[in-house]
Amino acid sequence: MTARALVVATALLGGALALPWVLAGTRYESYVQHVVVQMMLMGLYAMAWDFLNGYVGLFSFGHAAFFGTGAYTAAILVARGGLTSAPVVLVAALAAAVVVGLVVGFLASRVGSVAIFLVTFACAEALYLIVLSDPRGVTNGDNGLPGVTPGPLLGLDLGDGRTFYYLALAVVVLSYLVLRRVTLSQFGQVLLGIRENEVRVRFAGYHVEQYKTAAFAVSALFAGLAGALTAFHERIASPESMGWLVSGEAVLFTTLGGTGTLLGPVLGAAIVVAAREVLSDFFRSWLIFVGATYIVLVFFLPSGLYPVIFPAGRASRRP
Amino acid sequence: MTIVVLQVLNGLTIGAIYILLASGLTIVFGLQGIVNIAHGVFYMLGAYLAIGLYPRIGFAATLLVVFLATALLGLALELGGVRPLVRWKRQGMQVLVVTLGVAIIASEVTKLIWGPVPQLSDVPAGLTGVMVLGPVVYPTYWLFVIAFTAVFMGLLALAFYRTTLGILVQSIALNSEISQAMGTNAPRINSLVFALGTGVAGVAGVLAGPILSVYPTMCFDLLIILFVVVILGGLGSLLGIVVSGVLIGLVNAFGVAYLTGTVGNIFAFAVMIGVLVFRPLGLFGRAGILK
Repeated sequence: MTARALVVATALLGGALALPWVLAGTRYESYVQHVVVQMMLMGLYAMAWDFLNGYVGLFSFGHAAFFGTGAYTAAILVARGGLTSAPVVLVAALAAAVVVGLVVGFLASRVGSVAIFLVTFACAEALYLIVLSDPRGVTNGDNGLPGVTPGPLLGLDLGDGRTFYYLALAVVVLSYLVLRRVTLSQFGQVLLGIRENEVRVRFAGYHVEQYKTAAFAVSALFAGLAGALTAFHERIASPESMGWLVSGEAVLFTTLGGTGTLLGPVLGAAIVVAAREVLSDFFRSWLIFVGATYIVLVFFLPSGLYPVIFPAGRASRRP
Repeated sequence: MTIVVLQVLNGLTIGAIYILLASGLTIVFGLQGIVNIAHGVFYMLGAYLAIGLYPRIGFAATLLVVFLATALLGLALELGGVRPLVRWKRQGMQVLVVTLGVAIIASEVTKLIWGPVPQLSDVPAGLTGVMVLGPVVYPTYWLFVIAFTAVFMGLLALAFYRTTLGILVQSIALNSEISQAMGTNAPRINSLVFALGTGVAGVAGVLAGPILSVYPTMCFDLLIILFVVVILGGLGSLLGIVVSGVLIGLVNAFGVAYLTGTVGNIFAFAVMIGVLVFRPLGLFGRAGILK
């Protein structure tokens, strides 16, 4: 991270910490808090995707599978199972997301780069259809599963808007630090090697498929975390969270923010979530903007906003 | 027994539409290594255009006009959205993201023009009614779709192995650089094949109109099953899409008949995943070779 990025990051973090205090008592308090938490959780989700795309070179179009698995596991345990302990629910949701990540990763690591797109897409869509078909009446079909009230976590009341806000902030910051550490570890260096030249890494004696599968599992863990917290935040797990538009959002946020930066995707998520809040009230066909953004980005800004704001600050360019 | 034969015929009909659509997708992948998410858009456009055109100009003319219109639009997409990125040596994924953007915009614009309510187009006048095949009575039009696809795939195979263009396409798929060094104008052939593929997708839309319903997100819904067909057959394999198109069509038909449509589609995904575990390149896939 460059000095400039460090200053900006500190300022943003300070702003995020101060926001609830600034807004306290005004009528915007709960609305702004709600939207900012959305930004942070979608940012975390996109960060997980960026780990896979920016640091391993794998293009997943099925990340909604991990996000949705986290959301639905949490929802089913709380709303159907009546579990009140938030830590148990979160651990179970993460475990479920990792299992799905391992299965999808196992399949995806065996096929070529474009086929990875198709395989992850197909796996996510299969899960989406399963959720939609409402097996044994567990998932509540296309209405979504409501009633996901979070229980207490380490003595904190997650039902309180401000507490949940700070929890989300802490989770995003910690996840960033963990993912950054992973990319700098030996494991992460092998992943970078796979991105740069898979054949050479294979000849160096590494089992590329296992590394790719493990990378999928790591990414699924954080995407599932974002999904479970989103279910807590919205109090519902909706089938849309498994749909391909959510898979596409990870691509959009990351491409907009900057691939291979981990922080860029959070920036991208913040921009798109804010734009959606403003624009979707005026235009019913708000998705046209999303489609146009995809095209404009690829043609005119393929490496995203992050390198524009912080020149030479790209984490992925580190040796 | 009768019901089984009926379901087999249903499977062949839906499989025929899958095969028509998958042919363009899989050949373009074999040539340029790109996946066109907007492929479904041309199928959707074909279906909507047919609803407006068929009562006015008749079925055969509709097929021709839709083929030309969607082929031209496909050519525009290739020249404007794909070729620059290929020339700049961008990754295949970036082409994919562009076509995704095009597909999202097209789907929304379709919703604005034709409305969100599903429609069904009319069965062509000469092909209404039913045919009696022994114990089975089956709609003539559905049999026509099967026959149309069989003839089309026969002609495609013939063009592929017996014409100069077909041989050149094979050479580009095998090794684009060497083929170009030998004097092949690969970009031009790639554009031509891309446009032909989208034209066939438009024709598939016309054919599917009276069978499947026509609505603004159909370009995505069918695309997903289409991907299953293409991966299962082996990316870039023509024989593969015929086999897997029929297979997935049958899985779909029997799923709809004995369970529900959703469960039928889940089975289709399960078949694909099962095959991929043992054959990562699909049933007939071979790395880098269009076959």
